[in-house]
Amino acid sequence: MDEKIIHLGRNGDVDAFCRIYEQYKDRLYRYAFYRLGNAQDAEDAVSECVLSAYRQFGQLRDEKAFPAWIFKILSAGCVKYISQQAERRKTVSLDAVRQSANQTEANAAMASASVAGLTMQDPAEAVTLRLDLQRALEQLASDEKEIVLLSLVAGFTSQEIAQMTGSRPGTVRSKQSRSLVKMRAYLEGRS
Amino acid sequence: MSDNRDFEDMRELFEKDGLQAPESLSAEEMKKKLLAAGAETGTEHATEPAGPGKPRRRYVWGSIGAAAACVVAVIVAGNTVISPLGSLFAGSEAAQYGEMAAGDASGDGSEGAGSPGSGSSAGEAGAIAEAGGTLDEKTGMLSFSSYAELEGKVSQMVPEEEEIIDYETEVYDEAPGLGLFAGNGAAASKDTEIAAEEAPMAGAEADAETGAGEAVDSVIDPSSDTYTQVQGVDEADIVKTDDKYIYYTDTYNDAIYIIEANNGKTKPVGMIEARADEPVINDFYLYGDTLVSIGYEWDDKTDRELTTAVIYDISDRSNPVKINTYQQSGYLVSTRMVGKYLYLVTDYSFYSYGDDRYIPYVTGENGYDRMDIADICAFPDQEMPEYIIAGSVDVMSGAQLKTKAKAVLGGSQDIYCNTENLFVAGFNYRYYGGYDYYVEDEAYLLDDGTEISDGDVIVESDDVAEAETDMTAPQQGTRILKVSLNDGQIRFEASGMVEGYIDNQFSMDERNGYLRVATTSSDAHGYDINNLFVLDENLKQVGEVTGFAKNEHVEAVRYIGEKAYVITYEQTDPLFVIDVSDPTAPKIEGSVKIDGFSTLLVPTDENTLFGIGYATATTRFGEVQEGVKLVTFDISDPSQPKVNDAKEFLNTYSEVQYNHKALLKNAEADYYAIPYNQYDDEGYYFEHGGVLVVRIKNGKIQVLKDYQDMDTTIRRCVFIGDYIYTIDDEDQVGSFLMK
Repeated sequence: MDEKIIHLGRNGDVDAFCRIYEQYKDRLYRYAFYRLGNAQDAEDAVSECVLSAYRQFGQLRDEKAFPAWIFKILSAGCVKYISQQAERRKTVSLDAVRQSANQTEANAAMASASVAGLTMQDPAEAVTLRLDLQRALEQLASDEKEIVLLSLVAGFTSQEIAQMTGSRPGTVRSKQSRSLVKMRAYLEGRS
Repeated sequence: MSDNRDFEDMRELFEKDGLQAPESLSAEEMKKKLLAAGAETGTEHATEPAGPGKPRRRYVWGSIGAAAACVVAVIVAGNTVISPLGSLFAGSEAAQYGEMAAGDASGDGSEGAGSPGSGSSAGEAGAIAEAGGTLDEKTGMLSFSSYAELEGKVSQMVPEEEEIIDYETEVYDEAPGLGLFAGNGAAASKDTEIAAEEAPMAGAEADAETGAGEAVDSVIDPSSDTYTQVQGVDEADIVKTDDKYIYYTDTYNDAIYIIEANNGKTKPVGMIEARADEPVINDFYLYGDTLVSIGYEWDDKTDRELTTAVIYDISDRSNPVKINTYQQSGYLVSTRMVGKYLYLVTDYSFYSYGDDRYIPYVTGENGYDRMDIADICAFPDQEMPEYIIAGSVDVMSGAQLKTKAKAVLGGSQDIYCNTENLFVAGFNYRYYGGYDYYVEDEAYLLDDGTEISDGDVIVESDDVAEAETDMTAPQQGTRILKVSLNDGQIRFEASGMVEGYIDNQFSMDERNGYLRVATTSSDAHGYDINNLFVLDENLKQVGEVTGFAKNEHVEAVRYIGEKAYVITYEQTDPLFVIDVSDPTAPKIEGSVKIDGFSTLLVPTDENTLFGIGYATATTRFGEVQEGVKLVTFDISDPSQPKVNDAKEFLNTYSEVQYNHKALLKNAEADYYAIPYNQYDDEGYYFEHGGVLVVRIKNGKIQVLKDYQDMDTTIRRCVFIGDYIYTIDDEDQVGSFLMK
């Protein structure tokens, strides 16, 4: 029995899995990018999420459940990065202050490129927009941010989000609407 | 809803960001990585179903977040506490935790064999000595004699902090709630019952009859109260008013404005501000000259989320004075106020027990501190690391706050509260659509070499037979905890289990000691079905109507006396009248079909039920929602309910459709006011906000006024005297005469 399923996993499901993953990869990445605030962590988080999801793929009964399922894995995975980031901020801040004096420009450029998710092809306004959106998202509490990203970036309905988060649709909707008001106010304040 | 406009704008913005997954995350690259890592899908699967009963563990953990990831953590944590949830549904008897079949002592999780009375969970017999906990037969809960004993219990749920070994276990971090505040923020308010000796609010009214729900008529009141489920039980909201002033939170949740209203004119008087280091204001209560804001914050010191109640003396409206602050671990599920007692229900999740994070903190006699061990208990089968915490605060107790709190390891989603009891409903995540233990469409071998394929019923093998039963058995359940209030003396009285999930607080109602609960569950083929259960005062099920409205789910419930009115939605959107006068034999008396569905049912006179909800249209993609629909039902003959009148407002949306607190009721002037947003014909662009004022007369819907605000969304409206005041999305207050 073991052999047979492992066999299936190696040869059959990897293609099936990647085929489905392909449809969601941008949304997963975008979600992680805005949740974590930088490209490097987002890439790592999605990568880990994919590995973890693949290991459990055999339990997925219905392909329709794939998006909610994989986003839950990713969301849980992002928490690790968020706490690591917080840890970094606490423990490294002193070092960072000392080092910032002699930090090379290249380092600084690289760091900001990661924050903006920058690639060579990106038009300048898209990059500015990303930073603006990130800052607007920073105005939100973590639960609000999660709801906004699950709906705007991942494309789930409030009903689905409620189910994914153990909340209720009405709660999700009201949190979302307040979050959007906050974000709009922030973005309008900037423009 | 302004959110539609904001939503579309914001989504467009996000679409313009040009962000794409980098090449390293392409499907091809990931495939290489997967193969290189030797990752094997279904490896957990391969090892799991072998042992009898083991699949169940997976179900439970899989359902809370990230499937197999959790299994790893379970192993780390040592003893599992997964209970034979399946047996919960074996019969109503088994629904009582105290009677739940306990697993055998070998810890292999074998189910249902049952040594009843031990009350502990499957596979736990070995652990019980260290985990401890004494079972209370009546409530079905474990109590603890020391924190160490409690720690033994929680150690089975979460790893010690240092033991968090890899990514998989981190799933705990957020799995229980994904870091969301599942609370509805709080609730609405109205018709506050006030203890006679303090009666600070004019026009307040008491309805001591438990479970009466909303009486058909209300007391005459010169100003509005929040529309609530139960008279005499106030619900928090973002706007409140008394005869002279209007109080409302700003849209940034960091201030409450107080304005004076006089014949349609308004003038700012004072404000309460939550500074940066103070909790966000979710909503609030008004109790005479006392204002209680409900909020939340993160407490760095104890590293947890807190729900807070800040009490202000507003005798001088221009200068509110903070009197005290109450804090309670966990995110806000809901609150209520009965007289001067505030009740808060929070959901506190923890993901390690290395420090004292497994102990809930509340404000007690010694300030904000860990809860007394005597006030903490557990459902024996609870496997999620979370507590239901129910707290009470005497908001008039001044500097030395009088509080009480109890906690139980268990989950919570919504509450129903009358003047005597509070019921916490918690969905039991047993199944999250998507996981299963055997590969469908693929034949595989059992331990004994038998080859089976999907659909085969294997009776020789217990585990597979069980797996098969899993597919056909009800898969979701709601646990209900009964808390008696008794003037702030919180006590856990009983707990019980019903099949399916509830819609919202209106799904529950207590009358003459019987709790009625309407739920939606799945039948053997995975179709939604609907049920109504009657539980006695010990929350043991005594009666039921099950399986009605196949392929539909509950959208609205209202109990009036001995009748339950239930609206379901999906195909035919019917209203059901269910007679519950005999608790042991509730029965459907009649039903009527109508296009569109109501999400809120309001009794307007003895023959009429006023429904507010969604207009729908049938397209080739199925039914779609396309606006507000108001409807009246003639319920004079319960066996033949009729649609009396209906009005549709296309491309119009209202918060009332999903939040009863947005409805304004003026009993004296005999109208209901519904704030709404109007969109264009495409349903895409916001056109204007407004308030629709209607009167229900002889079962007919009369539109008295359609007040329009061209610029913005109206969040709430209230009345004082003949004027309706509107509070909009930009924190402005408008008014119009409504005579």
